[in-house]
Formats: sequence, structure tokens, C-alpha cells
Amino acid sequence: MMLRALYFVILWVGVITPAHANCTDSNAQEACIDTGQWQINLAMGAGFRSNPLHGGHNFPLWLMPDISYYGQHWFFDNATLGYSWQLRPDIQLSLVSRLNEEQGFFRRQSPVNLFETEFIFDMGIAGPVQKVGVKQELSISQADKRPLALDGGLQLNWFLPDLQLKLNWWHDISQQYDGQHLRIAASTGWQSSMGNWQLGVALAWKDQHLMNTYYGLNTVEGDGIEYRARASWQPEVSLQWQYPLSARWQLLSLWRHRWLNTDVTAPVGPGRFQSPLLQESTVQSWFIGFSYRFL
Amino acid sequence: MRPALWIFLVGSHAAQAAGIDTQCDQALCWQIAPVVCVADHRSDRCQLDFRLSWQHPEPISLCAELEGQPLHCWQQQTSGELSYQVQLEGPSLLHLKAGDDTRLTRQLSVLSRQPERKRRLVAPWSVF
Repeated sequence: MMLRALYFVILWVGVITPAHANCTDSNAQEACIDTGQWQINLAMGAGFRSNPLHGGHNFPLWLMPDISYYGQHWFFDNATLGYSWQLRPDIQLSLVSRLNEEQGFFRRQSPVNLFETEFIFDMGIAGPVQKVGVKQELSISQADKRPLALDGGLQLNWFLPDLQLKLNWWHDISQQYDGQHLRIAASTGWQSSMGNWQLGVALAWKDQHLMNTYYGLNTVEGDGIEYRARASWQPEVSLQWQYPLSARWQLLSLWRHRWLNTDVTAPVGPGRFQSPLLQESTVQSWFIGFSYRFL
Repeated sequence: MRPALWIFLVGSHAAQAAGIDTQCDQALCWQIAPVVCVADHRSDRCQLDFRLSWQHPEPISLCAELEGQPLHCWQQQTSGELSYQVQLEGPSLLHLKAGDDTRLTRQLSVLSRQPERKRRLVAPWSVF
């Protein structure tokens, strides 16, 4: 089913006219940036990112940065460092590097959550509690020694008139989990009298080494329970809304829903097994507030 | 320092400041100025008024061409001048040809006061 859907997507994008990655088309100015200049935005408002781990606190979001710099080839964009080549007017290939985000669920003081930790309060916005059928509830405190990993890889951006496709291959270059993961994402944007909208879907594949390093348990950690995680498919949908108020101020709302730990070989149904560390099988994020553009 | 050298240095500096330099192919030399057109925006066409002059010790027949389009021809002359106005959409090559033989080539460039814009390769607010 998924392959058939992918086939139709490829067929559809293959017959439409490609857009240019150099921002010469006027309908893509929202996603464009002046080269050689830092662009710094700060959003202030309310929101949270849920933590699916047992004993893990949700991450309140009061302030969010959006920082980027693009040179002729080098770029820094929200903690991703890259070097890009333009293969065609509509296709960019990049070498990229960033911190793996998995550790962020295990440690609130992780660099992955660097910005959020400064503004975290003890009272999180608690998500619904879903217990998993295991003998003993395992908590984040029992398994918080998860490594901070640096990923490196390749990124392919394909800009189409009404659709952006992005393919990422990441590999652990810090040899912390010795694995890799892939992500394919598609997004489309449109404007209306109610503002600017951006709808995105993504599908991530994380290999067994990554999943087992972060979500596996040995008998010592698990107090007798052992769990070996398998490779995982993680679909995601997101919606972004922006309403300009002035040249620098705008209303901003973000929402994202990610499904976790859909084991490749696990049976589908209510009895599906997932890591004992996980209390929830999804990660939800939302934010609403104002954003200000400094530069 | 000898006065002749001072005159040479000052003259050379003034020519560079005005964007005038000389290119030669054996005894055939030409000067074009300006060779850079500055537009307000990258997407704008840029109007360049340039002046071309050439010299050769013997009478010669030459044609000036811009991207393959003939601009002007001279028949059996030892020098020639041309003032021309062109709308540039991007870098363009100016040739001085003797028959089918391209003797001299110079690029006319377009610069923009506005920095180049690129698509972001990472989604905005991706820390979210």
C-alpha cells in the first residue's frame, strides 16, 4: 500500500514543472533567505513537546529560536550544519551534520534540548497516561545513560512548484550507537486570507542499532527485564500556520504528531510489543504564539 | 623615483578606477568600459552603456559581436570606436572578430545590490 502511494507520488511529481532553488520564482519567498546574512527569529508563546518515556517530563515550549545562515555553499540552519551543491536548478545535495535528537527524551539538560531547558518549569503540561503491559514500570531515571550522538549524512532537497521533497540519510559519526536512519519528507504551502499554511508529512526509518541503543534494555537496566528493540518506522504529520502582523511580527502556530516504535516485524494490533521504556506510542508537539524577526 | 614611473603608476591606477583596461591579441588591442552593470534586484534586467575602442597598426576589417549578435563592423581601418546600449539579463560575452576568427573576448557582468536569495534547506522552526 505504501509502495503504491509512493509510486503515485513519484508519477505525479514527475510530470509537473520543476521550480527553482535559487528563489527566482516569486511564489516561494517565504522559504527564501538572503545569503551571507544571519536570520534570527524568536517565537514567544505556549506549547509543549510530549515525552513518551515513563517518568519523562513533557518539554514546555515558551520560547523558540529559528536561526539560520546561508553562504554560497555552507549553511547553518537550526543546529544543522551543512555544505550544499546545486545539482540542478531544482535539486540541492548537501553534506549535513547535527546532534541526534533521541537523547533529548532521556535527559532534560541534553544539548538537544539546549534552548528549552532554560525556560523549563517544574510544572509540565502533562499528557495522557497510557500504561504498557509490562510487569514493572521502568522509568527514565533507570535508563538515563543514553549517549549523545553526532550524526552526519547526506540530504537531498527537491523543489517542485507546490511541493518540497527532502530525503535524509544519517549515520552516527560519533560511534555512539553505530547505526543509521533515513527520513523522507514532503511539504506543501499555500496562502489564504487566514495566513500562510504549511502541511508536511514524513516517514523515518531508524535501524536496530539506534533503536536498541536508546530504547533497548539489558537485564541490569531493566531489573530483570530484557528488551531488544528492532528497526522502526516512524510516520509524522505536521501543520504550520503563520499570520503576518507587520514586517517583523507574526502570529505563529505549529503542530506535529509522530508515531513511535512501529516495529517492522511486530504483529499489528493491540498486543503489539514496544519498548518497556515507552509509556506512550506517539510524540505530540504544539505551539502558539508570536514570532519576531530580528535580522 | 623617476617622473616617468610616477606618471605610469598614476595613469594605471586611474584607468583601473574607471574600469578601463586594455586587452591585446598580438598587435590588436581594445578597451571596453564599463564591463560591469549594477542592477537593483537580481531579477531585474540591467541596462549597460559601454564604450568600445580598438587599435591596430595596419588597416584591418573587424566586427564586434555580443553573444553572437553583430553590433558593428569596421572595414580596413586602423582604429574604431563604438558606443552601445544593451539590456543584460546575465553575464554576456563580447567578441571582436576578424572574419570567423575571434581575436578578443571580454565578459560583461551583472551584479546586484540585493544579496542572492536561496531556498532554506531545513524547515523553519525545526527545533520545534
